[in-house]
Amino acid sequence: MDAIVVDRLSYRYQAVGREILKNISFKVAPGEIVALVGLSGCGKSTLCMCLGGIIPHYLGGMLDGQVLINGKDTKEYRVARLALEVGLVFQDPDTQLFAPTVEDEIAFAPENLCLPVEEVATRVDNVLDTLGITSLRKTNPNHLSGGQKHLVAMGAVLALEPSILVLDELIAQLDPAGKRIINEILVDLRRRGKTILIVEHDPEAVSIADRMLVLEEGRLIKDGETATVLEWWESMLRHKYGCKSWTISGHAAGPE
Amino acid sequence: MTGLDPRTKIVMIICLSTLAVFLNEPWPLLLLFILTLVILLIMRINFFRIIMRFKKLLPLLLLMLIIQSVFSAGGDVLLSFQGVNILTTNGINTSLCILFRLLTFFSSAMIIMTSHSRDYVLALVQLKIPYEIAFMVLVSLRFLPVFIEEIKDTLVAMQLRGVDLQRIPWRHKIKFYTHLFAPLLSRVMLKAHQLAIAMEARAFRVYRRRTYLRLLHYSAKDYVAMVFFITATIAVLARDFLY
Repeated sequence: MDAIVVDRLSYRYQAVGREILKNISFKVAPGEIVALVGLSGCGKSTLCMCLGGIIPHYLGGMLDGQVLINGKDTKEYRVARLALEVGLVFQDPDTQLFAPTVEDEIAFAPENLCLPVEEVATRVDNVLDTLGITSLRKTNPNHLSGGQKHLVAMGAVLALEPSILVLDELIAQLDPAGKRIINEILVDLRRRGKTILIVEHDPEAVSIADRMLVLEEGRLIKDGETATVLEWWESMLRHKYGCKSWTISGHAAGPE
Repeated sequence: MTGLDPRTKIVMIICLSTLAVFLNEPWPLLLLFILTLVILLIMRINFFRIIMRFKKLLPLLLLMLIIQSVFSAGGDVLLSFQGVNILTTNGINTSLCILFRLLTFFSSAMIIMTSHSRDYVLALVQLKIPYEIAFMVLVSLRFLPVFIEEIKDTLVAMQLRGVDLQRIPWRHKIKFYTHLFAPLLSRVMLKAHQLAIAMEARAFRVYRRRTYLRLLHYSAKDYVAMVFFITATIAVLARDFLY
């Protein structure tokens, strides 16, 4: 069974007239690392919210098609229930962190699972150790740097031990050391059988991916092996904009 | 008194506030205020921080003092103007009572600051409050600094666009703050919505119950503090009601 199945998915927000996602279909096999790239505003974050069930349960709008997470239709399961299957790390860590210490932040998810206290403590220790942030255990997340907040937000999701991990624009916001740590962690998680979807605007940040999907204005325009898609991407940029890489995120950004 | 259980601190705050409500003489209220300050100092709250908090309240307290002094009648007249009593002994008594009462309220509330917000969640949960409500309290505490930060950012943004708040007249200033409030509220509500989504995406409320990494336990000093505060409060109130 595929870990993620997106079948003819289209979506439009209630307040926005145009379709944000247009007839998207793809599958992700268990244990695969897939990168989803595209410019800001192309629908990447919206797709992430569809994968976590936030759309349609929280944001409403018009959703057509189907999203299956480990065979479970996201329309039929609550967000909290889907969280046991898919861990979502959002773009802005400040809207995810609320506990007074890093330890409390990471313990929050396993506590929700009603796990025995010993198991919660073990998970917290493992996550802190894996992410190399044990020294931040008693620190208030508000006092951390941007990169450290991203690590804590990721740790908070990892503590759930979901089989699928979706990272929305996490890597590109880290410094080179942070990127290296996250890439090593992701490779290790894949070794342990996790399925990972990395959503990024900068394709160079996702070199560890087995496969790459390119989203443009809500359409999936390319799906293939990472090196091939990267090569295609560069030639497309050369052809379209006379350049070969992306430097800044956002619509105002653009090709260098 | 450091390291007390948050539940004990809640009891202490309730006792101090109850006494502040029921006592009606300036001297006992002054003593209660001094006792609260002593508790805060024992709990190692920075004295400078206490003073700074009261400094912000000073205009409000002075206004209350003047209004109560002027408008409370009765007692000996100390100052009158063309037959109208302006200042009386009763007025001064009432205003001092209100001053010390408010100071006691504000300072006893500072006891809250001596524990982590997460400990209050545990305290509420262990007091059998549903955990959804306890987390609502935690998130609202988390959003106070966010709200203040948003106000500061918006003010700086406005000033960078050439609005000099120090120089514009009051009526324009009020209009300016009205314009500021609506987008500010909308931004904070959006953040709250995003946080609610993030919490549910971490399996919040997946089951009716949840476990806790740490739990609070009463120690001997908690029992001593609670017995002392509850007994003292009952004794003072009984004395007031009986005599």
